[in-house]
Order: sequence, then C-alpha cells, then structure tokens
Amino acid sequence: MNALAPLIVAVPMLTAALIAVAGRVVGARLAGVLALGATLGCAGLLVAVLVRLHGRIEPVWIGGWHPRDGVALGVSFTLDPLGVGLALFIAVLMALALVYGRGSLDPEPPHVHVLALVFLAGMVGFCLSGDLFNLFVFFELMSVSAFALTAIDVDEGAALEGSLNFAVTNTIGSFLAVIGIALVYARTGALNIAQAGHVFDHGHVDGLVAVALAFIACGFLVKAAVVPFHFWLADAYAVAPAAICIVLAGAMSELGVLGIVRVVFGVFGGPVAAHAEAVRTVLVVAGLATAVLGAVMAYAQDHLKRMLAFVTIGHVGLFLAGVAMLSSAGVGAIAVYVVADGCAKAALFACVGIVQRRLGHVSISALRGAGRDLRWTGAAFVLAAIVSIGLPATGPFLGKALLDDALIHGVGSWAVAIAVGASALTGAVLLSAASCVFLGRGRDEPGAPEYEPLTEPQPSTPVTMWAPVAVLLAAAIAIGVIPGVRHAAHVAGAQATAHGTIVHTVLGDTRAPAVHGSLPAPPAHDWLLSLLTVAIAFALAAYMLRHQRRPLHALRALHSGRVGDYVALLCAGAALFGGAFTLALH
Amino acid sequence: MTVLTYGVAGWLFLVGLAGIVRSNNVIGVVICLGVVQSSTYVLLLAIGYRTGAKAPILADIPTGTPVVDPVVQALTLTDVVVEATVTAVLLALAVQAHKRFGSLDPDAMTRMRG
Amino acid sequence: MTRSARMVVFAVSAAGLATLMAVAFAGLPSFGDYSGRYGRIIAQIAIPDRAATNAVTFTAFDVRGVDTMVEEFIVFAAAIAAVALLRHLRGEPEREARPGDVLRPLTSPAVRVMGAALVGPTVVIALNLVAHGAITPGGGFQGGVVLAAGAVILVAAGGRVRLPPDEPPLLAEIVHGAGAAGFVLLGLAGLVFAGAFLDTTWAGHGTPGMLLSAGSIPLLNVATGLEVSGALIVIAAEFLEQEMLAMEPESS
Repeated sequence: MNALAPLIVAVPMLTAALIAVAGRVVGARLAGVLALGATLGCAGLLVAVLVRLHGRIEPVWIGGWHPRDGVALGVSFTLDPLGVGLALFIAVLMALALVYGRGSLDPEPPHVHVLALVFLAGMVGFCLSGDLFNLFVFFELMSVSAFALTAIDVDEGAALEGSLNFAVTNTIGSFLAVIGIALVYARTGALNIAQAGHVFDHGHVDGLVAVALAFIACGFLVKAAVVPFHFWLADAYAVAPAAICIVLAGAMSELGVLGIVRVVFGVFGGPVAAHAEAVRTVLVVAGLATAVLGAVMAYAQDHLKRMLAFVTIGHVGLFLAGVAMLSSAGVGAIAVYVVADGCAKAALFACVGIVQRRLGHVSISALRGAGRDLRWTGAAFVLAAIVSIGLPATGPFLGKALLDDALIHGVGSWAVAIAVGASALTGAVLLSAASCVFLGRGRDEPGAPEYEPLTEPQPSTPVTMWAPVAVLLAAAIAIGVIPGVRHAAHVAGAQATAHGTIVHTVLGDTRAPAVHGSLPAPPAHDWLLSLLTVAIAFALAAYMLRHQRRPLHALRALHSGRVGDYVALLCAGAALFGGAFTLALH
Repeated sequence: MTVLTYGVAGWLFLVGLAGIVRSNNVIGVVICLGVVQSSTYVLLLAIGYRTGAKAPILADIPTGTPVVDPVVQALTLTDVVVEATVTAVLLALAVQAHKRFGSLDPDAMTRMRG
Repeated sequence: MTRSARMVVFAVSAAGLATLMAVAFAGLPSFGDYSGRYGRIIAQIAIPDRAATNAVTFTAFDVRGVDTMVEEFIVFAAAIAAVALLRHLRGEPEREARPGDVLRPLTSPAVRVMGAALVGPTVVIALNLVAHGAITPGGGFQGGVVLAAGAVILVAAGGRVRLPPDEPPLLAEIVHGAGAAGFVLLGLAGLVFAGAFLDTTWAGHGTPGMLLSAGSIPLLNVATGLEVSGALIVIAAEFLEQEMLAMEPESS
C-alpha cells in the first residue's frame, strides 16, 4: 500500500513528462496510446488499492514521514473507500474520454494528451490526499490543466472568454481557500486534516474557526459551481471540446463536493457536529437553490452544451444537499448518485459531441429536425436523459432514492419535493431538446438561426465516439442492479463521515476497522416517486414543445459573460457564506 | 503591529478584488489577481513570524536557537509558483483574445450570454 | 449588470468580507507570537536527520516533497498550455511598416554590451542557487527563475526570437519535460532504494553545510531547476515570438 498509493499519482505524471520530452519523435498516435495506457495503469493501481483497503481507512505517509509525538510531519494520503472509489471512477472516465477524443480532438502535437494526464493526476491526487495544503496543490494542478484544456479548441473564439472566466473565478476561489488554510494552520499548527480536526475538537470555536470553514468551503463551492459561484461553469462547458466536457462534468464538479466532505467531516468535524442543525440548514439551502437555478436556467438555453452545463449545475446542487444532511447515509447516497449520474451526464455530453461532429452546429433551434438521421444518437440521448431523471432500477434511481431518504430524515419532505421538481424540470428540458433536434418537434421560435453548419459535418460517427456512449449508458443502468453497490456505498459513507475514527487512525498511524452493513434497498414508495418524476418530466416536455420559451430576461442578464460581474457576485457569495457559517457556529 | 500586518493582508485582498471588478483590461485583471495572491503570502508569512528569531537557515547557528516557522515559508514558495503559472496561462489567453477580438476589454468579449 | 450596479454589489460584499476577515484575524496569535510545533520540530530534525541546513528547502523537498512535485507539474502544465494556446500564432510573416505601427529601434550598443555582461553572472548565480538549495537560501525554483531571467536578458538586449511553426522543439521544451520526469524518477528511486516514494535518504547523508549532503535533496533541486528554467524559457519564448519590426539605424 505504501508503494502503490504514490504510484497512482506518479504514473500519469511521469508519462506526461515523457510524452512532452519525446513527443515530436514519438508522434501523436503513440502519444495517445501511451496516455491511454497510463490512464488504465492508474485505474489498475486504484483497483489494487481498493481491494487491499478492505473498506477500511489507511494513512500512507509520503516520503516515509510518519507522525512523531502525535504531530503529523509528512503529507498523508488518507485512503478511504470514498476517495479511492471516486478516483477509480475518474480514471475510468478519463480513459473513455481519451478514446472518445481520438476522433475529435486535434492530436498534433501531443499537448492534449500531456495536459489530460496531468489533469488526471491532479484529480486523483485530490481524491486521495489527507492534507489540507496538499489538497490545495492538487486542486490547483487540476484547475490549471482544466483551464488549458477548456481553451484548447482555439478556433472557437468564445473558448478564450469561457476559459478566462473559468480561470479568474476559480483562482479567486483558491485564494479564499488558502486564506482559510492559513487560518487553520495558525490556530492548529497543523496542515494534516486529521490533526487539525483533532485540535478543533478540543478547542474553542470562535470567529476564526467559522471564517476558516467558510473560506475553505467557498473555494470548493466555486469549483463545484454552487450558487452564486456557478456563473463560470456554463461559459466553460459551452466552449470546451466534448471529450473534455465528459471529464469536466462527470468528475471535476463532483470534486468540489468531495472537498466539502473532507472539510466538514475531517477538519471541522467537531465544531460542525456540535452545530449540526445550523450547518445543515446553510448547506441544504445552498444545494437546493443551486438545483432549482440549474434547472430553470437549463430551460432557458438554446445552446446544447450550455444547457447540459446548467443540468450539471442542477445535479451538483442535489449532491450538495445530500452531503448537507451530515449523515453517513447522506454521503453514501451521494457516492452512488455521483458515479451513476456522472456516467449519464458523460453520455449526454458524448451524444452532443456526436451531434456537433455530424451536424456541425449546437443550437437547438437551428438544429430542429436536422438530427432525424442520427437515430442511434437520438435514442442514446433520450435514454441517458430518462436514466438521469431516475428511471427505476437504474443507478441514478438508486442514488436518488437514497438521497430522498436521507433528505427526509435530515430536514423533511419539503426538500424531497424541491429535489423532485428540479429533477423533473431538468429531465423535461433534456427531453424537449431531444425531441426538437432528433424528431423535429417544437414551435418555430422567431429569430431562430437557420441551420447552417458552423463546422464541416462529418459523414459518420467513428466507433471511438459511440462505443464510450454505450459503455457509459450501460454503466449508469448497471449501477442500479449489480449487487454490492448499496454495501459499498454504506461503507464509503460511513468511513468518510467517521470523524473520530479518521483522527484516531491517522494520528495513531494504524488502520481503521472495517465497517459492516448496507444501505437499505429503496422501498416501494421510492419506485412510485421516480415513476412520477419521469411522468412529470414527459408532461412538462410536451408542454414546453407546444409553447414559446419564456425569455427570463433578468436571470439571463445576470449571466452576462463578463468576468467583472462574476467576481462581484463571487464576493457577495463569499460574504454571505461567511456570515452564514459565523452565525451557524455561534 | 499585529493589526498592521494582518490588516495589510486583508487590504491587499480586497483592493485586488476591487481592481478585478473595475478593470477594463484583461492584463489589468491578471495583475490584480497577483495583488490578491500577494495578500495570501503576507498572511502566511506574518503568521509564521517569531519575534527575535533567526531565519530558518541552520548553518552556523547553535542548535536550539529559535527560528521563524519554515513551514509557512515553504507554503508561500509553493503559492508563489502556483500564482506565476496561473498568470502565464491567463496572459496566453489574453494574447489570443487580443488577436481574435482586437480588444483587451473583458466586457467586450461577450460571446457568452444568458 | 451595469458597471455601477456591479460596483455597488462589490462594495457591499467587500464590507462584509472585511468584517469577516477582521473577526477571523482577531483570533490569530499576535504577530511574532507563533508557537506551533510543526515548524519547531522541523527545525530540530533538519540537521540530525538529513544534514540539511536550509530548513525551508528541507520542508519543501523532503518532508512535504509531494507538494513540490505537484507544484512542479503545475509549472510544467502551464508551459505546455502556453505552447498549445499560442503556437497557432507562430511564424507571422515579416511585413512592411503600416501607418499606426510603433517602430522599435534596434538596441544601442550600450544595451547590448550590458546585456552580454549580465548574462554570465546571472547564469552563474542561478546555478549556484540551484546547487546549494539544501544548504543556503535558494533552491530549484529560485535558481530556475534566475536562469530563465538570463535568457530573457539576452532577448531584451537585442536578440530576436523566431519560432517557426511545426519545427523541432526548443532545447528548453525538452529540458523542462526532462526535469519534470526527473523529479518523479528520483521519487521512484526513493521507493526502490529506501522503501518510500520521495524518500531522500538513499543518496547518503553527508556533512551539513557541504555541497554533497542532505540525501537526494540537491538532486531534486537540480531536477526542479531544470524544469522551472525550461518551462519559463518556453513560456517567455512563446510570448516574445511576436511581430517585431526593426527600424534600420540611420547610416552615419
């Protein structure tokens, strides 16, 4: 374990460096193969670690720096089932994206592969790390490569603006996090999550603790694109190539939520547990507000990828709401939901990428009916949409059902009502978009652009593009039926939220005991609720196709594309969260 | 002295943000981002300072002499490097934007709306 | 939002943030009173454990070495990003001066002599900083930056940068990749020879204060120096390869 864990990060990094050195000699094809190989190697190492972990928590001290006198000196990778499992999902997703990108990304010279591998290393390291500053550094690695990958399609003029907004807002989020980390270090003298948590358990909770929590959380909330930090995401996803969006939507946004988990249960576990009600309220309001806003803004979109970006934002809101329950069942539910929904969203983006390739356009109104020949793509898109709403027996259904149970126990059924509403609206938006593009339904919008391909339409879809769609759809559905998922989710949730165990294990340099049990299977009323949600989505979609889209001027004007506006709203959000957490931890 | 040092960190942070919000030039945004980042350096280094202690270079000083905290210095070093690289990427984007849009005003680059 | 609305939103938020920071900073220890154990333990063990006299480099490259490895790769990624984003702009053809262009005169002999004179000491200082990173203030990052500055001095003193598109890479592009790979390989050497990734003890202990001491920390510094200097030279080259018009000096 000591050897395996650092290799997980070292393999993609070393391969990236070697491709960069030998790139022109090696050529783009071989570079692509190497990149895929390194990604699969990383995934294999993660499988090995997950198997050896046996559902326990285990610290791995990099450089052999074990704690002395109860003070953690080195950087630890605190391996737990949630982190390792999420990292594995990300590696697999990256492998699929690399395959998908073979046809669509400009391969000469192999910069994309280098950046993709570094991006993978950043994300995977983030999942494994158990040290606050190390988390920040991996977070930055992930961010810098994401900025570059978003802008890589330099022919797309708007790519620069999207990437600029992405870079500026996320960097300010990281600065907030660094201030929070500095405050934690000042108070606890530690950067290790477990050690800081141990000190906060026994210390006095004052303004510094609350503000530190707020600022570090804001850094992660910017990445997760929670309201009001979400403005950058639609701009970035709209311009990034579809292969990159697969990883951004399926993996990167969720890491913001993982960051919140580490902060809330790891570093500030003691203070949060003592004020659980208040913290829960703050986070669940933020999560549900994000879910609603994502759904509403998705409704207003004409650009396919921007619409999917808002769908992503909506779902992240639901993830945050689940984590906000501050319970092991909540985090376990989100573990399932993130992976299953990630597959469905990735499939949606992959289908849009195929549409872009075959039809040369991404505007829904311009593409009306143009997708009639793309029957398989259309079918896949619709299936992915229905699966993501939570069709019973699929992965997202399981995640959603577990989430609803956690929400009812945590705050009440009003939260479930909002979650169902947001899901239904999001689903309806996807279904109506699919009907418009692939079936030609829908009203004539005045001022809709003519269908004129912006890029050269290709005559066929290569297998490297449709195979990942099939794999992702199959995975999204399978997660709901394969045995052991509920047990794995229970273990992941329990170990990630067990603050006392984490502290004891890391500082004592031992392994935590295994956890037994499983999350309950969704009872009948969850099946009914999901079918109801799907039905509402279809009904809403039919309504939307018959009637003009409401313009929503004020809300859309707020999403102006101007970085100055975004930063002002980010500051407002930071001040709000700061105030909210200060009141909550009072 | 305490108020002054930490106050400078806070001031730099807010002034940098104000610069970004007001700016009409992408290069200005990048430089203001640097100002915001420098506030984190000041905060980190101020936290680690010990009155009357030496620099953390241990050659030729007797063992046991108090030194200022070396950990925050290492953190600041990392922070500086990260900021420099983000600046580089942002400036590359700015150069490209200028070639494409003919302007460096972030408010003029509004292909993304709604 | 209009600009004034934006400023109002910001002003209110900034007031809120200022209050929050005041509340938070009030809880900080007084300036000069920091008493955390982490730094003190590091200062105590730097010489006995690793013969490293520069506690900051010891922290950055040994105790928290993985942070530095990741940071190095951030620099690496930025260099790759700069090339990926700007290579389409390479090789713009030389053209006649148009009205409105600003003409830059060729540098004077004084500037060129100054530049040439400065490059030598700059490179030597850079190499010194990198090599002695474990002993005196300095290290791979600092030395790498100074080395890159030396390259920029050359250009500022009147050199010109032309990077034709699709040509073999600059030496710097290979060097920065090699530096990055080198760091990871040194980490793997730690795994193979000493049982833990990024363990530095396998390269011997040495005497504190001598060049060859502190385990593999000097080697890590060299790798970092190569990587940082290469990356910054690549980035600088991409930016400097722009249209440059030269005005012929008046023939006297």
